[in-house]
Amino acid sequence: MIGAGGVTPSPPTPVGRAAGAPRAGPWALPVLVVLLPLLLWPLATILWRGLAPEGVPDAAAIADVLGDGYYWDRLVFTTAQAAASTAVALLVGLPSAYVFAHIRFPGRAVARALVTVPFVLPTLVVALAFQQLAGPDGLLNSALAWFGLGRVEVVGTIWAILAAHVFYNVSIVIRLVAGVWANLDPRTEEAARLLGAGRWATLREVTLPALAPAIASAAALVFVFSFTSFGVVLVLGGPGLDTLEVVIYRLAIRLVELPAAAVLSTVQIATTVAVLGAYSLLQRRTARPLTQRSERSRALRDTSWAERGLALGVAVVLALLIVAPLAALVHGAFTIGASGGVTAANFTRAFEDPGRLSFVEPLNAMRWSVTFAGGAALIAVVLGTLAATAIARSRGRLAALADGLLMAPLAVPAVVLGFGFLITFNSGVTDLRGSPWLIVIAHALIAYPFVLRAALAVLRTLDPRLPEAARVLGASPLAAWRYVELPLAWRALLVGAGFAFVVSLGEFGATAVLQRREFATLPVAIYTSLGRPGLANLGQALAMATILMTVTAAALLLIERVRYRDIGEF
Amino acid sequence: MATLTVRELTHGYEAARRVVDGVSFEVADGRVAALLGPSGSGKTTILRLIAGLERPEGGDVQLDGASVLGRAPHRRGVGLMFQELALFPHLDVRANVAFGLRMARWPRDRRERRVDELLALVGIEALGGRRVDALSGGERQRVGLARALAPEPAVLLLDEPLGALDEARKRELRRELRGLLERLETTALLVSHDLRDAQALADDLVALDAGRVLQAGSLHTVLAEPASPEVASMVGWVRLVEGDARDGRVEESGVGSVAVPEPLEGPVLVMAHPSAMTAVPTGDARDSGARGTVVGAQPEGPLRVLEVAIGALSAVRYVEVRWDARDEPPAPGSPVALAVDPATLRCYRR
Repeated sequence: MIGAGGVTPSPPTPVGRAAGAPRAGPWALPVLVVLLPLLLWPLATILWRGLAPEGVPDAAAIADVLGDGYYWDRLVFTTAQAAASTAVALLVGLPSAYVFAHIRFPGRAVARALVTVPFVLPTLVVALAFQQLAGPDGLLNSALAWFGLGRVEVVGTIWAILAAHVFYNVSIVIRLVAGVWANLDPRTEEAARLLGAGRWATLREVTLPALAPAIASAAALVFVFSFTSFGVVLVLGGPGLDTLEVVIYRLAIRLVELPAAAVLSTVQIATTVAVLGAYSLLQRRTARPLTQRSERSRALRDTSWAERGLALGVAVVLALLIVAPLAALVHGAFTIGASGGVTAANFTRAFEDPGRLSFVEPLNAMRWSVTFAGGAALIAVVLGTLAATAIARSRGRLAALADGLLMAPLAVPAVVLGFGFLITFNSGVTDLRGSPWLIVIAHALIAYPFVLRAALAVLRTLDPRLPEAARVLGASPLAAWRYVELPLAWRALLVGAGFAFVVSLGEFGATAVLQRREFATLPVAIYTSLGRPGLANLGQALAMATILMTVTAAALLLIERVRYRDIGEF
Repeated sequence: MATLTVRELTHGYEAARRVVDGVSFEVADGRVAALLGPSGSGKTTILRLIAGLERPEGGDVQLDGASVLGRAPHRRGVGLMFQELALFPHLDVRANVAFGLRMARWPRDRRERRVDELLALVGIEALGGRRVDALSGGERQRVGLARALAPEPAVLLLDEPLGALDEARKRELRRELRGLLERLETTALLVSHDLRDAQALADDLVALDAGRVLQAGSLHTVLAEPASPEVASMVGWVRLVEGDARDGRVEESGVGSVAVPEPLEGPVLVMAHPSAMTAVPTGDARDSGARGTVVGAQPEGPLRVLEVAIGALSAVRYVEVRWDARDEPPAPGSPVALAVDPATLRCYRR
């Protein structure tokens, strides 16, 4: 055919906002109706109590708190330890990320799974593990004594806190950075080498700039998690080593100095919101290099001797960092109170009723933990699915706003959330003082961003024509969702639900504030046992922590099996 | 089956950027119409408007004379085969085809029978249990078609039904699709950028550009008597000469003077269809008076086809015509004459 007058193949038409296409509003609305009162009301109460303790805005009261040397020192310490934790986590995490992204080594799959475990382990479990490793009677000191060396005092110093924070956060750094690093097009580095750049120049000029957004996002998350650290600092900290979160907890449970607690909460939230705001901006930029992946970049490179050495070094450091404390925990649980042998007595005791009113009954605590986790996961899945659908269906600025607003729970530290609940839902029709419901709701709010992230990752990659095709074939909007979008996203929802369950199981900050003895959770039971003298109580705490660790680690490994490749940008 | 009427359909928020701008046409019951136009001419948007996936700013869509604008996509009874097919990746071939029947709550046995019938109709009986991502391009196309046809839509919309196939597959599927549409007597509207699809499949043709209908009519009418030079070039015609008509001839400098069938005066554009033209040596008896320059020659079977440039530099156009002589064709750069029957020319006033 000749001269067909400029008729050219048409590219796929971009799908814009369409009449038959789904809208975001109906999905976002229920979430906002739940989220606003449950999150913003307590926050507003905190703000009001902090800024206007007597009912009228009072600048002097705020200045009093911030001018108080004690609180000021806690703020400085909190910030400094968070910055130090971030720096060390990056120092350990970046070489590890390189190894995971590029080097083939035996046991790589096992190592990958292992590295993801710390992130979900309950804070109390980790704190106890480090105590067993580096405490006065810990494995480290036993080993030093065996070699005839002197003792080290680590617990009660900043080093124990740093080590635990790095333990947690190395997995975040590896996850976020290794994903991007593995997908970088190796040809850009090759091009730099051919243009005369040396190894280091290539790293500095080409590789690091490409990784910068991922590194910055990881740093922001690590900083926030360390800044709001609670369980680790409560157990491993010593005199003068309190984070704001711990100070707020002490003020809140004694229900004294509420204005001071409120001012400190406000400072904390302002910090997390600022840092996470920056993080969310960077997240959007991180998305870019991933679209340019090439088939070649997926292949692991052949390794040089230097790289094998690096891999070995990373393996040793990670093993020491991750395996040693957990091994110390298990070791303690089986040996303490056994006078030189191995015993299961601590575990037997973990299922016994202590028979004293002031004690938390462990079996009861396990039941409540599972109940709360189930309820929280259920609510989190509903909220997370709705919110993810709303975000996936909105465009441009609206999407950014929705994303920020719906992810807001991530920016609220757990103790602050519990504290907010405590001073908000205490009168009139919302008098929920002493109700287990407050814990379920708090856990659901803390866990729901995990469901949201997992679901969003899948919904964003879903072809918008699939629900449209269903509509044209006679499916109502709801049926299109039920028969097309849900079946394609259910694995992600399951992964999110699993995460939510595990997060709730280990949650300690909000629970510590809101718990009562009748419905204490396992972490609370561990903390209570720890607070009592005697090897029997310590042994029981270690046994319960071992059980909790096993359950969460097993749950996580199950989740990893269900997860598709590359879900979970977080 | 139903008659589809589109009336003054408009889409796009600002008047300056209308994707669809006052489009009207009708596809009579049982007929197959093709929307032909370059990319960005609004073809796909028109299908989406008819299916209810977009809401028009103005105008109406009617089935058998009744407006369906108020009906949601799932209540319109319109079938759509997407350009990218949008097969459901979590369902196998059978379940994809059965989807619309499930939505319409067909009883299981009837549903199963209907699916069998459709798989046989499009020739993929053996593939029922396959995953859709394990299919070849042609098989996917068939599944998409069967899925759209299954719920017996009143109107079938096909967006580039032969989209991303290679030439040989396209020809095969085009032939099959024509047989199918004839047998089913479905009212169908297909969108294509490829004139050959429209020629092979459609009874009627709607030529579209920049969101407006340039011409609508039976396939033969539009191809043989394009209403404007734009439509003419869209359906394969080329500008032969452009100039003032005087004494039954039109002359353009650099081209020559051509006799026209109508007694015209004033500025005129004369268009010819390459199939009605041949290249001949200059001075040949059949020389129409129009000259071009040989750009290249390529063998086609026992014959040769010449690519000829017509007109001066500022208005040059190219045409491929059969070399109608036994001798070697002239070398590139040489002049060549064009032979054309004046009765096949189309003249447009400028």
